Amino acid sequence: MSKRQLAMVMDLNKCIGCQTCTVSCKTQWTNRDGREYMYWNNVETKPGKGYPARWEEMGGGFDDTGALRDGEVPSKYTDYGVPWDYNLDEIMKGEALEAQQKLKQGPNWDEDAGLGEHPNSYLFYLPRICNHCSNPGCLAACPRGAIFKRDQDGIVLVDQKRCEGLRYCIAGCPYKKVYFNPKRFKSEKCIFCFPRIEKGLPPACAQQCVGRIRFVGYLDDKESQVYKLVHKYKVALPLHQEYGTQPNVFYVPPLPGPPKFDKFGKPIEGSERIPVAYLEELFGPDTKKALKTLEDEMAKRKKTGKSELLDLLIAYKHEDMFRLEKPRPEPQKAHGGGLVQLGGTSR
Amino acid sequence: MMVSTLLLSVVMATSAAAKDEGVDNYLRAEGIYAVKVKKVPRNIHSNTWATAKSKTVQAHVQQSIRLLDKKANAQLQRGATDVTVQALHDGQRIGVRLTWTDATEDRGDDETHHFGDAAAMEVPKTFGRGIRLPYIGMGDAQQKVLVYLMRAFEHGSYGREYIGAGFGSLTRTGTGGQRGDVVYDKKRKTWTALFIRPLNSYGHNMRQGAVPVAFAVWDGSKNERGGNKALTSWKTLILGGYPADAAYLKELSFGYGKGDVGDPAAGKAMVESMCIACHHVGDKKFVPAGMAPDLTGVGNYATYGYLRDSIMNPSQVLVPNPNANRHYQKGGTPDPHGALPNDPTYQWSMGPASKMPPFPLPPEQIAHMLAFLKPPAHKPADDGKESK
Repeated sequence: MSKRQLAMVMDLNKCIGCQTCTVSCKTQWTNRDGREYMYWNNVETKPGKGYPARWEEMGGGFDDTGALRDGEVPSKYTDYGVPWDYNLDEIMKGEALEAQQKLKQGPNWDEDAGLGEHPNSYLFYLPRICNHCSNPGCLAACPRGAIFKRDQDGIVLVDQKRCEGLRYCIAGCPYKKVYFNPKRFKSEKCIFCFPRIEKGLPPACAQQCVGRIRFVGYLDDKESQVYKLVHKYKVALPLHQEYGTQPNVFYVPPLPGPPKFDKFGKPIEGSERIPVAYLEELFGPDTKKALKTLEDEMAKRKKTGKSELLDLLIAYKHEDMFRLEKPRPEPQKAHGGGLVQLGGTSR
Repeated sequence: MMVSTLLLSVVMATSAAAKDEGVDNYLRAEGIYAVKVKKVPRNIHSNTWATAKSKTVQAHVQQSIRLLDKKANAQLQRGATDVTVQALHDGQRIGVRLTWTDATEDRGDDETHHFGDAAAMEVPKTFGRGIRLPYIGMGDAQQKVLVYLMRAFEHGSYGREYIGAGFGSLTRTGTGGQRGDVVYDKKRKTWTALFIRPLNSYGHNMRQGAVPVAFAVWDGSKNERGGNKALTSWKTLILGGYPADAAYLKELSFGYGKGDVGDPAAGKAMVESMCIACHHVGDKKFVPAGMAPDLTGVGNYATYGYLRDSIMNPSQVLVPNPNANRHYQKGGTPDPHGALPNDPTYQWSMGPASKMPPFPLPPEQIAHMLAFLKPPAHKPADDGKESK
């Protein structure tokens, strides 16, 4: 659909759930003008309901025949959750900390909950942005043709001039990464920080990532880190590929972790703390193969001291995670002459 | 029957044509009489509205094209909404007032899955003798429509004017001088919407005896917005004091004259042996959804003329393609980034040609199909069947 495709790879083995990406995105794009409740980038704990709650059960995407599936539009108050205030003045006078509103839901509502009983409980973090899919469900769902994919990099954007706030795109996105702005009566979403991309800079979430988990580059650039991780080593996999939208954000799945303990506190050899079957639900049938490649390369590195893959994943220098400056075609005119998504953004 | 008597007298008074039974039947069923008054009241509650004639029309849930909202789609089988239409004009402006029952006052708010109630009126951009009606769903590439929308929101109501040339094409215009309002009566549980515009709005002249018009209403509590709506078929506004073109009325009234509509049972057999090869019709679903417009209840908002033309010469009354990306080719060759091509099976037209072949059937057979697709609702005893 697009001439080139930007991609992001996130190494979940390095994500520490610090939410710095979330904050960098929020302060850059969503702390104002009706976007206060939105998290274009969020980090959720898996297993868990995620953000918006139960998003994996809300439909959208494509079925086995290639037809768009019916979907739901989440609720701001019960599925996303809205920001709340604390009695910060009162606690200075000795009162207990209390939320000012009745809390129902939030963007990290089930953070660190995970599954299982101590000492065999498990969890991992899953940062999520728009997948800038090759067959976007949102684009297919819009009855007005207001959503488009940029030719030069495959970034998916909402044309704010065409959008009439009908919200079919939200139902059509199986990842629930399009948000409705009730104040502007428009749908809005992660823009992959395209103004930064156009300057050769990675998106804010990737630039600020403390754990250095995010690689950004073009999939047709064989020298790019993303190409190597996705196509050469095949250790980076799309999330829920069964949704049929061909996502362009890829994840290096978490290794199953330290072995479980028996009732005497002894490690159970060969046990899976994070069930691989669960990882396969998220990252598909190639999960085992990817994990095997990771383990083999780790063993190789131990033995020989060498592994291109591990060097890549470790990312000794942060700038080695991004390859954006070349080759880049001439910049294109804006779609249909209309305002792209930044239209109406103050500041 | 005071209204129809009035209508008849208007037709007879304003045209030299001889009395035409089909036209009479048509105006009785689909005519909306706009009384001429001194001044069209801007106040939605003005007493002047009591002098207007009332006509009740049915708005049915749009099913030709299916959108993907799970909750809205669960409502597709809900029945018709009765909309009472009143119209007044003063030679300068026309006012159309709609009243309909809605158990809930939905204004939309800052909740992401709440939708406001709304109403809309559409008129063809060009109309008159020899000009076919636009496709009822926001027009088509050849016949555009002007759409006037009044929508309730948290702090009141707002109006919009659009020009439409088919699905997805609605584009805001802001020059027509529209005024209006939409007000909820909590006691009666009814909405009243008012549309006022100049009779001559930037060259779009409604100073005619017969002006086609159609309406739509949205129920926000049923997740309705955009294409999920209840709409009427094309009606005809009869403006008092202006001559109605008898030949145009004759064209519009196709389906209401003797022999226009045949035997529904014979029509059912034909539809269910031919049309179902591509279309869904009621519970007859033998092909994947979306290959062609769903014909379930199509007669609720299609005219007889449109149905006839779309059987006999589909490319002349082209229904615009909905979003071509809504179905991709599962076995197709992906591009280098894994994008699968759109499945042409689900496109309704290729350029200017409909994918549907023409069915140049004899008039009697068309009449049978029409009787099944659009069962005559206001059929007087002496038309159709009796003539056989």
